[in-house]
Amino acid sequence: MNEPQDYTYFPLLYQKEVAKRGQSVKLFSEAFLTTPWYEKTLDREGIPGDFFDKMEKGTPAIPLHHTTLSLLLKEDMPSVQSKSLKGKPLLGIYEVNGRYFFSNRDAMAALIAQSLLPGLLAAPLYTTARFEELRRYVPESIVWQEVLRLPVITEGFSGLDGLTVPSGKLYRFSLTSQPAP
Amino acid sequence: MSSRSQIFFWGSSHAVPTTPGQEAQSGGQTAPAGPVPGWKCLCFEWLDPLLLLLIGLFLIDNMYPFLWWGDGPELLTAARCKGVAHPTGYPLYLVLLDWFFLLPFGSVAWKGNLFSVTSTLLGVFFLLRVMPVRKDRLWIALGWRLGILSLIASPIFQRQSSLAEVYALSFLFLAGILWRAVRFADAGTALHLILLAGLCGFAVGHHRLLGLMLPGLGLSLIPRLREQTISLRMTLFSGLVFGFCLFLPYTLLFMRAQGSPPLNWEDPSSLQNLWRIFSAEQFRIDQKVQRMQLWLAYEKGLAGHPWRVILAEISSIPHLWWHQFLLSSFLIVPGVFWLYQRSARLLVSSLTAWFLPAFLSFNTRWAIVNPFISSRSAWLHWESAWVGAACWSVQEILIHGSRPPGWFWRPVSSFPWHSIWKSRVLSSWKHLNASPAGPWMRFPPGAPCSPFHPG
Repeated sequence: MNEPQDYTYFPLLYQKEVAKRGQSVKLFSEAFLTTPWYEKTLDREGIPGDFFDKMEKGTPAIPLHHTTLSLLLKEDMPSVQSKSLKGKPLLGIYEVNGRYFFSNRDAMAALIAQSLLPGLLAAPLYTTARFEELRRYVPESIVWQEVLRLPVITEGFSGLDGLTVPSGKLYRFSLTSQPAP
Repeated sequence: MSSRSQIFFWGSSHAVPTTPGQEAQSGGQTAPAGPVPGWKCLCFEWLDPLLLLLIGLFLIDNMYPFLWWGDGPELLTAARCKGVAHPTGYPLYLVLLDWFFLLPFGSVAWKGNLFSVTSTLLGVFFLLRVMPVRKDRLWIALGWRLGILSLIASPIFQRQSSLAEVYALSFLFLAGILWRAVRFADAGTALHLILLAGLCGFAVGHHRLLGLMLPGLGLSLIPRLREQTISLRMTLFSGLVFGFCLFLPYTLLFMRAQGSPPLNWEDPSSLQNLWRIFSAEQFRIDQKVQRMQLWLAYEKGLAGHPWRVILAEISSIPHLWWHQFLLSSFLIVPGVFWLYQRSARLLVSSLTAWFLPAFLSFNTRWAIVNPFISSRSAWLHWESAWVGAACWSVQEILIHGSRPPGWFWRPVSSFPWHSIWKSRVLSSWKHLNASPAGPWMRFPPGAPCSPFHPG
């Protein structure tokens, strides 16, 4: 199961801005890439890219579909899942009432590789979780080096309704010259 | 007989001047109108300070020393960096927390946790002020304190008082409103009403769930508004004060968002987005998605009928929910009949104060995708609303009957024992942690990455 990245960004921001450490590095959490405000956050982190423009317009490889929440849940989502299970992921973006849904994490990874990765690589980059789906869309090998685990108390948090405890880990993201296996 | 009234409020140290007719209406029975002469029992003068000291030491001892997962890190960051937290934004909490950071010692996380301790302690102080120890109601006042101690001893209060979260401040608001309402009912001046309205506005602006106490509060104060001849103009002005204090903190979010603050979930730089944050649009969409997923799973044969799933979910934790429901019901039944005899309006007031939090608890329990957060808040407010409901019920009885019949005191005196039992029940909180969630609670693998459920 993927790490629950959505709880990870703010503790890191806490460490970065409150403890005044790591101000020169870039911090990235793909968990928020579909939220409308994250474009501002990436700007603040100094990460350029046309990710959000492409997300709103689609690309030839990742087409945009206008739909409703009901249709997305009842028709599109099951078809995307069934086709994805056969092997190659079906990539797509759904626009629902001004909000954007990726058909799966592969679609998000493909769009990151297309539009964000050059900007991401311009400075030391730390991610809040391993994003394994990126491997399929990046020609080089990706190395995630675990560099930090925040001293955050998890007592009483785990196990509730089957939710996973956030990892609290911070990874240094880098590409090697060796091609991906 | 003194011209001062025998009509009496809990927590009041002042009597209310009345007309001679009111004495006849109350049956001619009298109650003391201040500290009883000869009441020299000094041993109770230091009781409240001692309780506050002990509770404060207990809370500080239980306080987390650093970050805890959940909303705490986000709230601390948003307060420290002057950002915007997740809906509903909690601007008042962020401002107060930022001021609290001015303390010259401790880390930001430690001070954030200490803020919750302070809020809870102040809330306890106001609850103690609601019902001071007096000779004529000594056992009730002692029982009230025992109940407060049990409430503080319950795991949910300990948890919310030990980390940076918004619910301790909610508790402070609720206790403060109860105290100010008693003061208004006692003094009955327009200034008290305006202060109460402003406090209610700030409270509901802080957390929408605190609005659940407004119907019961309003219904209970209507008689006071009529008896104390508060003019309609002043009442309307109080409503304006309520609305002003409700929305005032949100202007801060709007102003902050014009820059580049740390954001979460929404950017309130436009009025439309600000309203989305204020109205918690995110959670309403969560509920819609949850309902759709329930039906989708049912249609595909992956789960039972949604209503069966809901009932199974509710009944899966009977030791928490049904005990609370039944105990509250047992408590309210004698009072309901008594209130109905006295006044149908008071009956509606009490039932509203009791029913709405319960209804919302069940609703949020099954409707929100991330239920442990909602159930946690619902629990806290349910507890607090229960205290409020009990307070109002007892208070109304003291207003309208100078010496209630003995049988009525049973539910009142059961309050501490009820709370002790409840704290025992709540101490099995870990059972909830271990309860398996239904398959509908999780998103299936490969579900779309959405703004609401990233990844």
